[in-house]
Amino acid sequence: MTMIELEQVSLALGEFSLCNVNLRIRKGEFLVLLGPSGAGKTVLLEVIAGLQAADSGKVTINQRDVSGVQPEYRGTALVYQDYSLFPHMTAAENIAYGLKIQGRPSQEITKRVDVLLTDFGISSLKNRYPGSMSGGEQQRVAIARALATDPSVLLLDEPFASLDPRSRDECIRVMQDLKETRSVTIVQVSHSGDDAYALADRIVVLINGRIAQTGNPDEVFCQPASPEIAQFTGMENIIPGIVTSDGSGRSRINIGSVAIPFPGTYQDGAGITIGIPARNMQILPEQPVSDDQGMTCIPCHVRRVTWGKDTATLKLEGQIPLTAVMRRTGYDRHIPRQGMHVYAVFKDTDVRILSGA
Amino acid sequence: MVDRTRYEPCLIAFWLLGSVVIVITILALLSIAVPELSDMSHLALVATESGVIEAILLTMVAALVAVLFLVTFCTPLAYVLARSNSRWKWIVENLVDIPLVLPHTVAGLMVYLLFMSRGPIGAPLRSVGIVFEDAFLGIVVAMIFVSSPYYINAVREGFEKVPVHLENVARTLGATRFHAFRSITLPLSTRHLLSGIFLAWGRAVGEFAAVVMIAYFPMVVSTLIYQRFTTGGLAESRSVAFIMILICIGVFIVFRWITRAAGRHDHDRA
Repeated sequence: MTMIELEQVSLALGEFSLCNVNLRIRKGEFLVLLGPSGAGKTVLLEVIAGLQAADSGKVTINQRDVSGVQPEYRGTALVYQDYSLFPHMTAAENIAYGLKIQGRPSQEITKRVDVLLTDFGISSLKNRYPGSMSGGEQQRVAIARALATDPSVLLLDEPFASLDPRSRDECIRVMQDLKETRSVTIVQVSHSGDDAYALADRIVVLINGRIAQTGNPDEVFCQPASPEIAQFTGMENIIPGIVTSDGSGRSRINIGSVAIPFPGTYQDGAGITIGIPARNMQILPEQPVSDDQGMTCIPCHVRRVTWGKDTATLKLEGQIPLTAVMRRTGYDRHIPRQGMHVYAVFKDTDVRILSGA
Repeated sequence: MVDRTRYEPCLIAFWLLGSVVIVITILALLSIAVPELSDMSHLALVATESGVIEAILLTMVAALVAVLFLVTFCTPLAYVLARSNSRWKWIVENLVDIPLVLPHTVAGLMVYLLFMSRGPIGAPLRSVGIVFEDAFLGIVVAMIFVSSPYYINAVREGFEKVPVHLENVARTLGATRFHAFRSITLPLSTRHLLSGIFLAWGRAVGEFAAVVMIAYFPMVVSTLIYQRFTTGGLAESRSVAFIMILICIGVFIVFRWITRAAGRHDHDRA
């Protein structure tokens, strides 16, 4: 059953815009809106919530056309990135706000607030003001407040963006519980792949106000539909080149003097862009002996090594510039150092076609 | 730890420059307070004069009515100005500020022309028994006119500081725009509201030129001080002025105290 439907929604709002957005969100679905800043993600949430009126198009929530309906009558709750707790109210008063407006009896309000405080593990904050709470605490109060009135749709605008890693993990757990225990439809704006992997049933990539790709996390991160999406989702080695087809069913892409084989047949002379995930790139000290037709081996030297906690990122210079990510094991003998000559090796199945296909 | 900022030559120079105004203010207060306090019996005599008491009461009540008018009619204006993205907003903003840049005699003349018994507003209202010329309402109107920009600008600034996100969240929780304004924006702007009220009240109490043009009588305190200065001399006017100083300082202290207590959750302080 469809919970939210956007049909041809367009809106121009200064530097932000939406352009013919068509989107259908199922009841109970956890949808993550992914996109670079300025892509129009927050605006899209505000259009669903009724806080921004679309210039054209139709918004349907629960089979009801809500295009002219004020936000207070839409049954959508919104949590902003800054949590937007009411600073003059305690946690309990914040959570009770919506219930009071609904005119529920005060006994029921007290009971419901207590249940939510317990559910979110924030009973100790009951009488505290937002000014004295940490980011993670504020966020949980904000989500509890949003859920108090049993909205059919929960809209979350980058809820983890300003949290420290520990609070963030904690909050992801809260969201996972929420997903499992409640039937609420959730739309969450994010720009982190990790959040999306942890929570999303489906990802919608928004770039420049248009939906660029829709799919599950694996589809979006492993098979990005365009170089822009690949760039945004963190895929490295995005390289344009020209296809040469030798008629044997294999195609190659020529980039300078390098010919990289990849599966599938493409028209001879076509310009395409490929992407090779850096973690799929093998780095070997010597040229491997292999008759594998699908393997590419590019000699290069290490220009820079950037050490991370678990990985090392290598910038390689050769016939084409490449990036490789190597896992650190503790000894790190296998990781080449700056200036060393190495061979970058990858298979044709690691090559993703990003455009021109 | 030693507070090194105290010895910085730049800050010392700034203090010296700034102290010119402070010294003048202190000297001005002393020049009235010292002779008055040294002749308490005369001061008591003036303070109990019915004319003086009436003038003070009239000024206070008229200023209060002017402020009540501003709170009722200009708070909504301040809100729409704070929230509007209209291209034409600047026109209204400039109109609001006009009384700030006009000489007060000009403001008084404008009020007089509009509200005098033959004026476009004064004449029709006179026919139903509402009179502005040389009347309480005339004083109130003049006070409203000159003090409105102080109120509107202070309150608008307060509303602007309350993030729109808070109102948006309130609305998705079921609040109408008015309810969101009343339960979120208004309480979070308390300090600015009070400061607007105080500024406008102070402006209204102190107004002379605009008031005197539409209503020389009944006499507000400013008019009374001027009248005594021109007819009775320095000593006569100085006593009334000193009483006024005491009242204003008292009100100021009370206001500061209320503002501090009431505005503890204001958004820009959180």
